Amino acid sequence: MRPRYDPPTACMHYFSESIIGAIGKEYTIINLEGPKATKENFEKSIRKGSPRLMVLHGHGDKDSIAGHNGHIILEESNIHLLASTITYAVACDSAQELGEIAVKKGKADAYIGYEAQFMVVIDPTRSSTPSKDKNMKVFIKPYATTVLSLVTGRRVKAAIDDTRNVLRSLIREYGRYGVKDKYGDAPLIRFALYWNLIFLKGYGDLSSVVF
Amino acid sequence: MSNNSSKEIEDLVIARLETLNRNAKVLLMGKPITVAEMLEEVRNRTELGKRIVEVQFRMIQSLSRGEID
Repeated sequence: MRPRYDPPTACMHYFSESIIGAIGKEYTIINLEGPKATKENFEKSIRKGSPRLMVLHGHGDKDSIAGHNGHIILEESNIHLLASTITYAVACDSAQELGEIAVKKGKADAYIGYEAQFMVVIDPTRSSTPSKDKNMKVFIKPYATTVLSLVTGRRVKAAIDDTRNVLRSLIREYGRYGVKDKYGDAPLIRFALYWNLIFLKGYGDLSSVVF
Repeated sequence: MSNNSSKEIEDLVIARLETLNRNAKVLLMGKPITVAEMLEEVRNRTELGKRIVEVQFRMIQSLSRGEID
């Protein structure tokens, strides 16, 4: 699920290109991007494709995730669609309640999400072209690590640990004297990485594997 | 945590934020926000501001314990 209609969703849409490039040839990807990221398409594609792993981007709150133009695509009323899946949701606050609901009511095997807004530092001079934004690129690696760890057979807990280790490593890297930091954004980048580190949470059976 | 120590933590976080590039922008998955606006959130003690204080303080503690540095 990859909506792209404003700067935050454009950022995550760009991030997920790296995943599709890395695994698109090996695995079947149901790619609901841009205006295709609707509730109708979301529900239909799950019923038809029965995906084991779902990666969802979009705006959200503690009990829902939105698709194209902010329309809700996942909430308690259709949470059963996550049954027997592993979901990685990069949507504000969604882990706060939706993670628990997904596991308890929706019977999802596991749910990985953030208990607060997912944070990315941007270069304001490049905000309309994510591919040229060097600040933004720092945040791709930890995001991609979660997905790549899962699809390579790592357990959910291990995928979360891998992601946290990448975040810690980047926090260290951006604290070193001499790191490339044209605009003096390194301290803010460290803060944002730390933010994502502490709010990343897993729910359900953390020993689950995708394949 | 006493009110005094809460205020001290808040002041410490504000001091740290004030060292950052005020025009630098963070993209929260809700809205873009500058460092200057983050400072306002902290000063106004909004929900986001309280969260920023909490995370900054935890980060300072982690750094001082050598957990992430």
